[in-house]
Amino acid sequence: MQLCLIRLARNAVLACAVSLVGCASTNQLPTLGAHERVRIVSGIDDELGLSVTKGKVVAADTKTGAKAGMVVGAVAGLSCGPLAVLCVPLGAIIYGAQGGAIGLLVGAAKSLPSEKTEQLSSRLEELRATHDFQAELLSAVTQGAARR
Amino acid sequence: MEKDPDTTIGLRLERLTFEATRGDKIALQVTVSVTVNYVDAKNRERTKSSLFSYEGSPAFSQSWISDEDGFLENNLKDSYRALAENIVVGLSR
Repeated sequence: MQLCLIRLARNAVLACAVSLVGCASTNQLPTLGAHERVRIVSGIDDELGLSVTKGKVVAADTKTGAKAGMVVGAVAGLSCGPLAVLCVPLGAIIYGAQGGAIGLLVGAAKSLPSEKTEQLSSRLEELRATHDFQAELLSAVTQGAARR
Repeated sequence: MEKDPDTTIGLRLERLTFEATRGDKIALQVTVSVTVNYVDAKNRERTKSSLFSYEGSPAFSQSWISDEDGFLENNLKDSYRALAENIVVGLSR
């Protein structure tokens, strides 16, 4: 197992252990209280109800009427690294590019021929056309909460 | 009518990156921002944001490109699951 340390933002030093299934960072968000009801929204207008029971976040079947737009972005450290073969930022993930391939940024990595890069981009674009990545992430969080 | 919750959690899928690693391999990286708007003990509205990052295991570029058996989709789903688990744990500690 390999230990890696990634600095993504000035106050966010993220430690993760790379295993066969990958890793995700830890964080320093406020802890939600037991039985606390919360509203969860996506970067656009999706929303799901979650509540907290006995200190754990659990999925709830209620939805609130509030809309998104209150997500405070401006999180630093989102530039694409020099080894990026493909780097797809938020706007391209959600909205795609008008009339063409997904709005990708190609990094300085020379390890992949442009033809292969284009093929990978094309495959990702096909997938984006049939999948809502943002919605799938929200669904995963809800399901993760329900399992706890 | 039930009062709206004071706490709102915003999730944004910020970035997908396919990063070159050694030996013609590529690793998927997914970055998600989580923003929590809440009211603290002194009844002040507060906001905290944090980034969650996932890095999958490197795989040969041809695996990503050929995408047999839903390789790309499966890797994306793995990333969502891992990120979701960490986000939920982070909010319920």
